[in-house]
Amino acid sequence: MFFEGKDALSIYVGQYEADSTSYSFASRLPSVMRDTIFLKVRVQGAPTKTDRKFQLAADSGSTAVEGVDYMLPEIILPADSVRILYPVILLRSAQLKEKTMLLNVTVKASDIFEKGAIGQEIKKTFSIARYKIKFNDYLSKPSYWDDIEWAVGEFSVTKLQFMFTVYGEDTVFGDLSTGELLNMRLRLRAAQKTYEAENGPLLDENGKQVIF
Amino acid sequence: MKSINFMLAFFVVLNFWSCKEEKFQPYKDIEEISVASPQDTAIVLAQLQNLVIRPQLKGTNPNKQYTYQWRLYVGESYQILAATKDLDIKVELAVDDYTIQFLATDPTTDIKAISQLYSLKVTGAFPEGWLVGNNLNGKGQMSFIRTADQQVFYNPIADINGAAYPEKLVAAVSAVVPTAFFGSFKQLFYFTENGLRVFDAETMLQTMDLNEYFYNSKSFSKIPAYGANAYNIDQYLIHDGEVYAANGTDFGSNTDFGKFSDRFEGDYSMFPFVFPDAAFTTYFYDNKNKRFMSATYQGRELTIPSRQTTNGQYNINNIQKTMLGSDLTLSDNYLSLMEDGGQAYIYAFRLKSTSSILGGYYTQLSGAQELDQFTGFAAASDVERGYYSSKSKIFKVSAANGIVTELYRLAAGAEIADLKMLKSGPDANRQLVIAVNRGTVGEVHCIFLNEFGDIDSNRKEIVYTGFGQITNISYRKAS
Repeated sequence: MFFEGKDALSIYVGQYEADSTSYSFASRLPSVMRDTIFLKVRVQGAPTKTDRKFQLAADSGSTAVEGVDYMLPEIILPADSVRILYPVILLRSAQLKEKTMLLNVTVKASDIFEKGAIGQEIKKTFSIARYKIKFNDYLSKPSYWDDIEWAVGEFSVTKLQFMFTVYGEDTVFGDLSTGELLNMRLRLRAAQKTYEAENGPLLDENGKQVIF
Repeated sequence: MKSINFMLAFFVVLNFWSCKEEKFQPYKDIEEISVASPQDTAIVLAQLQNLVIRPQLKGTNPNKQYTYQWRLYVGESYQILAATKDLDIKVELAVDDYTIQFLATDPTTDIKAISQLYSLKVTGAFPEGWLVGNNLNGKGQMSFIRTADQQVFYNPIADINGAAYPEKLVAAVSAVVPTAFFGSFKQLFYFTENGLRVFDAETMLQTMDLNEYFYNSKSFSKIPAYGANAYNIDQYLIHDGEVYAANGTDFGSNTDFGKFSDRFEGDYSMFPFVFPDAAFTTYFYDNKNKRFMSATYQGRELTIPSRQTTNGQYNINNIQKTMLGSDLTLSDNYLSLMEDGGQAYIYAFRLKSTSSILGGYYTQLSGAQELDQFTGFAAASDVERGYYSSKSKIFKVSAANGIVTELYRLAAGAEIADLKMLKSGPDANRQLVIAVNRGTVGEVHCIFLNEFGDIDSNRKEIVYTGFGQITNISYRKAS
């Protein structure tokens, strides 16, 4: 006698990976109208010889609006596969200029898949009930700031904007190489010195002088 | 009794037959051959040098024709390098370590003589030697003197890269810093008025174009100094008094060094020499405030270290002399020629460790001449002894008693451009290397020293010619 039933599908993260992320279009060039965050998804069950469609969906607590702020497409899990990267498409809507949207992404149950169980699985990976994405189109403290604070100091919007003028609008400072991180403070201070010689003190949104 | 006689007769016959068998001799001695020499099993050669081995065989029969085979082992298989008794080939192998074996075979018996294994290390064509920065007809050249065979390559970067480098050269500096366990830098820096080009030390292929190593374009006007800290964690560059740093090998795992930083902040004017200690601190000498400053590993800021010598002669935070020249000396410490108000001094800066600084001292020089024409400084590493050069003379300086004596004098019409001490090989600390210009024509003179640091009259000076006007010389260490 064998068990027969639907396979389950879950979003999962590695042992040291977060179950959420922050994203801002403000650091992207104006021509960028959408961006994609890939989530790791896996089947709790055996691979099959046929392709299988599935989709993720917004979960309760989400404030983002489908079709306006995001898209969660139906995609195909190819035959013989049990893992895939699912594309969460974030749209650069006008309201992102005003407020931060929250998108809780979860598995959408279907005729093929049901929601998978959560918890620790093989190789120290964790199936999670939902993945939380906060996103906007204005500068906010990025999730990587804690990793670079030793080099650049306390966060301010003005400071981050100034950093983009030095490094380029598309820079993800959390991804900089060790060599770049080591040089970052000197580079920013040198740029600030040049800026302030022409424009006077660089003050942040709270009226405090920016210090790197 | 009858049976006893029979037995006796039987043994006599047997014995007779046995003697007959011995005389028959159905076999004979086999000629055994063996490889008597060479016994040296470690061979180091640069690419395109000739590999010559002439083995001596023992036990060969002059009336026989033997077959020979030179095998080059690569992994578990081998290729035949030659089928002659003597091996004489041009090394066209990739840079790597190989094993070679020689076999001689007697074709009539198929008995083989097999040599011991020879290890062959193939280095790049420019494994070790002097970089000679020079300008020929206004264009820069980074010439190379390969010390192993004294061969000179006058413009290898142009030949190898198939490119013209029209910029005027300011300095050619070896940025080769080998370490056993923490990764090695293998860069050659080509400083020009239009920026820095970087070449791979093994192949001389260009790896960075002008200014690729900096955030902003940079023009070089003076000879910069390059150095790394003890574990190659950081690289430092000093140009025109300013200090810059770039990432290092990260204990051997990193090959992306990024770019050189902006200048380290502060009010200073560094002498162009990098003084790493044996751990994580690197010192710099500030000729503006006449004191040492230091940076810790992966730090991009300068601090003022304070350490007083036991004899009370100085604290490194307050030397109050102008540094003219520095070089590595005994026990990886530093010897520096200093000057203040027309008086010269030799300083032993024992910066190898925080505790060794205490043993530092200085000596006032007596008989120092032509310091106003100072062109270079070099020190021996087996004894605290220095040499400095003026435009046409070289002076020996004893750190112990401060006595200065003239060592060498150039003929009229020539000027010294640079002075260095050879620090590796059998002539380490026994050969002074002098860059000399006769107008726009450059020469490199190598003079030999005896154990007392004076000229060794038994050894003839080596002179390399054919260079343009020399900017500097820099030793490319083996890596």
